[in-house]
Amino acid sequence: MQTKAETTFPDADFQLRELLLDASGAGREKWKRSLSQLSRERINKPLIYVGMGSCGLAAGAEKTLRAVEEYLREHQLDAHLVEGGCVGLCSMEPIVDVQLPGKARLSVGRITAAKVSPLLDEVMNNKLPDAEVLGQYLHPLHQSWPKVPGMDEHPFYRLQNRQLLAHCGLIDPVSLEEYVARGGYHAFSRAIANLTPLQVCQMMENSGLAGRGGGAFPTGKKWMLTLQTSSEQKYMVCNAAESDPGSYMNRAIMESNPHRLIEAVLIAAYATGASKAYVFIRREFTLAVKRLKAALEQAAKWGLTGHHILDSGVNIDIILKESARAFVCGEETALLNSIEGKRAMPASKPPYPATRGLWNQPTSVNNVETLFNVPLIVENGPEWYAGQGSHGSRGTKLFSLSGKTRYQGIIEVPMGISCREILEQLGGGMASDQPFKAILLGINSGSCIVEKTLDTPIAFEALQEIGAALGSGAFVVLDESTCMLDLARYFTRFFKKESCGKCIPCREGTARMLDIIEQAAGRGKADSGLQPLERFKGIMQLRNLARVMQDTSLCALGRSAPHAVLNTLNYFKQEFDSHVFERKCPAGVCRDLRTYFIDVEACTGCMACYRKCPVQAIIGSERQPHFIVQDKCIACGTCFDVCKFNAVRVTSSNDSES
Amino acid sequence: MNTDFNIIVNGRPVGAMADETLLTVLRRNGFRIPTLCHMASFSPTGACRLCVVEVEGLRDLVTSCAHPVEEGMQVHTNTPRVIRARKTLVELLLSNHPDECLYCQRNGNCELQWLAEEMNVKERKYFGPKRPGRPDHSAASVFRDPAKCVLCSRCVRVCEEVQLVAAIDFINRAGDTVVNSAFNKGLNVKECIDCGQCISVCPTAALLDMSHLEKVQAALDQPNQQTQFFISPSALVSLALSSGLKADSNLFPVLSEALKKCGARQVLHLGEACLENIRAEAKHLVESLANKENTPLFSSCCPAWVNYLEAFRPEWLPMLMPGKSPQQLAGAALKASFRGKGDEESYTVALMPCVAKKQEAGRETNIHQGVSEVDAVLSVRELLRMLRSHGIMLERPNGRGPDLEQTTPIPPMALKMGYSSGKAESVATECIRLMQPSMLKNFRFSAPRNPGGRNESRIQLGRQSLGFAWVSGIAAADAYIGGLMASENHGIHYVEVMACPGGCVGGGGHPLGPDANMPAGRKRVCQEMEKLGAEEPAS
Repeated sequence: MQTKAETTFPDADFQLRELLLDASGAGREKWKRSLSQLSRERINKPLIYVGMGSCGLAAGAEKTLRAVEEYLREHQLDAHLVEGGCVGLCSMEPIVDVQLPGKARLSVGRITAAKVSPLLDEVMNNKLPDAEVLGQYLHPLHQSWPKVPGMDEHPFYRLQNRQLLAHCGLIDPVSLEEYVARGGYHAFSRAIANLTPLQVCQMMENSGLAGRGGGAFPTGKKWMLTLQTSSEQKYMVCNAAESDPGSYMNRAIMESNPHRLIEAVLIAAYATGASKAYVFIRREFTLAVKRLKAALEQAAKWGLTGHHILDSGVNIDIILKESARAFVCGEETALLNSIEGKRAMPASKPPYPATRGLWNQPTSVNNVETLFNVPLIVENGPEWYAGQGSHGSRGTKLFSLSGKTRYQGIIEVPMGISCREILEQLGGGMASDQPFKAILLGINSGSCIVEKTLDTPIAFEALQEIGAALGSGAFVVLDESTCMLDLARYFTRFFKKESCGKCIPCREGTARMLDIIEQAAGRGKADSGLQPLERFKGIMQLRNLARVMQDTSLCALGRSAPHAVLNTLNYFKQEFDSHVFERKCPAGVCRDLRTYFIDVEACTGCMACYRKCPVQAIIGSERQPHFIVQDKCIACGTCFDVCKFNAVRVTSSNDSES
Repeated sequence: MNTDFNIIVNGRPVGAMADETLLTVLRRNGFRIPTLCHMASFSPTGACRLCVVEVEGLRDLVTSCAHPVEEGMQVHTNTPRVIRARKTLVELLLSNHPDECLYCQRNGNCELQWLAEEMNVKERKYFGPKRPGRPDHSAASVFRDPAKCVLCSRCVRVCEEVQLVAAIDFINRAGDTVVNSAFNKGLNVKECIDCGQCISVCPTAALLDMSHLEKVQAALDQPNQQTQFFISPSALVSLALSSGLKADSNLFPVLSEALKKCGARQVLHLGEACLENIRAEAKHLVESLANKENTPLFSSCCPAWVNYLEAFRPEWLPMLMPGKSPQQLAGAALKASFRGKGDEESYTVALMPCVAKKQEAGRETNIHQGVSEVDAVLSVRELLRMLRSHGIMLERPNGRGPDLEQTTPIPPMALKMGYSSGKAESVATECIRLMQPSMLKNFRFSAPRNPGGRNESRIQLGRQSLGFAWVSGIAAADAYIGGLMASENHGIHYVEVMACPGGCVGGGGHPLGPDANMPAGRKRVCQEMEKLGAEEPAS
């Protein structure tokens, strides 16, 4: 039995080296057969993939994997077992794929450890399992499963255009051989053999690729600037410190296909004339770090990094640098400071990193998703890329679809698709019967899509027209059970905590903003007559604060911090008003605005709540109905939890109605 | 002045040069732009955002301190948007600033207070909790109150860029950010060399000198404490400048008079002690040359420099001149010669332009069997405060009045000790006096002609060539001496090192204020007084 996939082809090493050196791509035809073995199109024993991305692990994939191993051992089965990446449908994890020799690969969702044995019992005997079959990967060489739809017919995948995600979840992430067999590193070998750095930059410029980190700066222009700034040493930096709340695409694609990132970094370094490249990765991404490290070792072993790469005379070193665990590390100038070993604090721009960056040398800083596009553009040409997408925006965009939809996960959609399509088709509509409320499209960009703007296409200009921006890729769907004030409080607290402390508007502004929101959503000490006025004044000040923070903050963190508050003010003003004036939380979320009271009829006088109340706000004696003194009550809900007779009632307003 | 091109500010063309920042151009042309973090000749940080202006075609407001000028740019410095932004920023700073102006040492001399006034802040609009951190009394010279810190990072930059030691930096994040030494240990750490440059640049009262005023006042109140004050020449100059007195030979008698009104028994100046220190260093240098010992030797009168060597360059300590600084020489001499009646004790107070002197006075080597050579050191700031609290104005009597006591004038050499290059010159002069007195008559100490040249001067004494160098600011000193150590034939025998930029005239104990030209002004006055001293030779 073999538990881990290994490539044991006698001539594989030689072929791979030849392949890597073969810029024309002619060799692929010659070694077609062994390549199809390496890419696991042809297999001679069953192949089992377990989705082991962070999403899979969170859903229990580790235990599933152990169960599969156990099953194989018990049944003395010889099979390949691959720890795969994330195929995108995170809400269906743990996903197990089984591919039998000659048969199409079958994908089954929600396979917890207990479900492994029945699943394999059936599939290994060529029977369709009685589980949540997601679909099958159709392939001309494989015999398909009857009555099982292809994966691309699944509603989650139907409208996707999986270019960046092409290999994610399908391949063994830490197998350089498999990546090469599926066409990987060809773009890089082609670039260094046939193209000058200038040509690569021009290619990017012609393709119209725009930065995906949120700023949407043209990548080609950035590279060109770095290339044309004269300096003995230049740097390429990949910003893999993705930390915008609600987005996790970069983490997922790095975990699922680390070699694509390495290839892209190599091309970017070559195009900008950098001999040193840093991948600045968020330290919390432990799995991505582990897999990138492994992939980098393989790349170094095959001579893809280091000195005199692929006999071309090009030298590029890639250094993996783990972040300092702060949101602000994702800001490019703070990121560069952090690499230099300094405190991660943003610096004023200009000068831009492209001309004066790391250690004052020209540095191109690119986001992971942006870079993932690069090998595709080199491989297929800028015209191909420019042809993707619509509404004046090119290419595809990754989103982390999350929130109250039926399906959640990583999606890749062509530019121009409407928000409604994503929500209703890919997301499968709302998960519960609560009505749709809003979509948060990127937390740092602060875009808020509501019912009336739901048909807006995902495109730079179209979004700008409605005062939104593409953002970094969070796509958070909210329903009516979300309190917008609570959400604003959550994000403001986040930005307050993550402020680096350098500039006044961000450091002090976020803190004061939070104070005002907490005052509006909170109960206050003793509700004196002046408090409604204070709350009202606070709301008036919020707008001014938000505008000044956007106007004067040093970096994007401070400028984006007020978005959550402004969204609530702009789209959900009535929700603010009901908190401030009526002291009501329409969604019933804000705990401080709940009122607890005891139903005299139902109360048996058991004294349970009386004993547990942490502030002695309950009065009463044995077998007599109890009473809550509202002035003392802190609305902690303990009495509600301990009452066995449903006698404690709660309302979300001050007037005690049941 | 020749300019490269014009920009349009508030509708009016203004000349600018290509490599300038917007702030430089605006200020040169008389536009008032408030700043809190900006320091001329330092790299901009853009932390305070108060210098924002509106530039047509740019979506966000730009910080003029960091924005390069571009030909034809249209700038507006006082639009409602700009004014509202600045006002809100100040209000935000005030939201968690302690309302202690009445008790604050910088009351009336505080940049935050001025800004609040300038921005027409009339009420506390935002309410925040007090900033974290407790007052830090741990260090010998510098007192830190984090509650009053506005995190402008001026002290951090001075400490790193001018003094190299980087003893302080930002700690924690967001609202918890404080400026402190590593691991939040307070300022009583070896890395802090007590120079007090951080105090000089602080816009508020977050950094101050450790006050010796209270114990001096207590000594003045004790009948058996015979208070003996002595003032350094550069402190005297600073005092003259800040109280509007003409710097002439009457200055010291005026001060002496004033201090006696406060209760001082004896008031002296450090002229003799300075001369003694210079002569001792010259003698030691000549002896070292005769014994062919290792050179260069470094001056040792600056306590911050000594602290730096001890903490960061112990390998250079053998090259430090032995002997006491003028302050300790004077203090020791006064204590030794004091003959009190009954239970009378001597209490020596040094009046200094320096805060490191407070630390020097408390060094173990300067205390003998529990008796300090110098009991207290007052900075010029504290001296002024003491005089004010006694209701005494420094006034110039008409001419040399009969009640002014005759005092020995301050020798020019002592005045020279106040600014960078002066001591090197004096030591050179004394060396010639010792080695070849005949040369003295025509000797002129030559400074480098070209402005970028190294601060070195060479003297030919027969076959012997002597090299004297001077350098101020620890970063410059460390770089210069490091260069000397690396080269074989540098020909430098004596290096005068002053930790503060420009020497003692730029010290950390002078009156505070936004005028960056103050050290240069004090140097000029020192030189004027030297001329006076030369005309009126000591009788």
